[in-house]
Amino acid sequence: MRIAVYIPIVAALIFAVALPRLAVRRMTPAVGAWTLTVGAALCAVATTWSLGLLAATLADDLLPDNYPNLGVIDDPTPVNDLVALAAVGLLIAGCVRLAINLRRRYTVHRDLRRLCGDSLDGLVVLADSTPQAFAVPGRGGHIVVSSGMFAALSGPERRVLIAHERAHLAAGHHWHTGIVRAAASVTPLLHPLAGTSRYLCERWADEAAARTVGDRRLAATSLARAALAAAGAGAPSPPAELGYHGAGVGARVAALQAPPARSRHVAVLALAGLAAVAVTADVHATGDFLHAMLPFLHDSGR
Amino acid sequence: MAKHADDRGVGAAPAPRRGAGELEAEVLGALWAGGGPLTPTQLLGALGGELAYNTVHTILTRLREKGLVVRTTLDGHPAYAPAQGAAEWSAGQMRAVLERGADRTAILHRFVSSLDPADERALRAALSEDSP
Repeated sequence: MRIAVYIPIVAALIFAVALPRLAVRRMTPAVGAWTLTVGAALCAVATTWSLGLLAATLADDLLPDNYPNLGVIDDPTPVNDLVALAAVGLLIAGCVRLAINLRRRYTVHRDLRRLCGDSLDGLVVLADSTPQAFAVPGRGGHIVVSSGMFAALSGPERRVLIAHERAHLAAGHHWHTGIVRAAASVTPLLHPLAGTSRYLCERWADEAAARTVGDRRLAATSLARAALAAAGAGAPSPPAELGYHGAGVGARVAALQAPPARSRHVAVLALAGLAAVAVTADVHATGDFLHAMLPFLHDSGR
Repeated sequence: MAKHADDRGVGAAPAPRRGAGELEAEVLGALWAGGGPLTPTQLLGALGGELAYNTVHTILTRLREKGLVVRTTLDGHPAYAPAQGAAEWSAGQMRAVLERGADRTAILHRFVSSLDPADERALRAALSEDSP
């Protein structure tokens, strides 16, 4: 327990530092996004579990000092109370951030579903000269495109745009980004993964759109034209939350101009191994904790 | 989408297969991009010339039935324009969502995100390389 309980936290740190680079450079967008989602979720759960174990070591302090058997059993958990208190603080902060994150997600999706309400076709047009386009998941999903975005593109380029947004809905990309964001809100160490997850989902949809229209060059020009039109019109751009620098539209266009990438299995296996170590460490630490606590609990229940 | 994709049957055009939903979106997009009423012939040109006249006509009829497109005339010829009402209402709703804070829309999967100057140069280069 002394060491094992901290291993998941170290693993999360390694994930946060190494994964964005590995996923973007060594994996296809789909494999990278999945690796990121599963990795972030595992890290968040394992880290939270570790914090929970550390916090639980405070339990022995809650007993009255004159508890009869306290002298005969060992301190079940050789953890400094300050560390345990810090774990409690981190757990509470994580829960609050997660609640805020989920609430915000809920309100945005509620507002957007209202926007898409009557549309049966899955396409909602905004009479707005600002070029913008996005996908709204739920109830079969909708794509929202402003008239300004349609006007910025040629006929074949509009096909790329539509295919891109439909790919987001078909592959459930909102689950990927949503899970990674939730994991990062619980475990701030994982924050760099949120931007990477968004980027990989965009890349994933870019590649899907390129396959749909059968032309990577066309996909690249469509994206470039849309981005320049949006930038020129001063479209409201989302905050630059990309933790991975230089991984914006420019990188997406460049990736479409390059030959399609292939995944290196070694990268995926290395990350799976790291996740396995983190989970095993937590199981081990939990075993130690329970082993130490059992006689204690048994006594206090008497 | 996959459901619609089979509607066209075996032996349809060799071009990339598109479902009814995609075709309707493309036609509607072309009408919105047009900025005014388009005759079916103009619309064919705006779509990139891959679709058959009859296909476009069928889609226009379907879009009219759904109230997304209105029929009008242009120099005495039948022409079609996108219905404004719903799109204006949607635009208003979207502005309301945006006004509640940009961070909220960070949740969305946008087609294009922010652009830094280096990106912008690279994109212009990509487009000039590609244009005829």
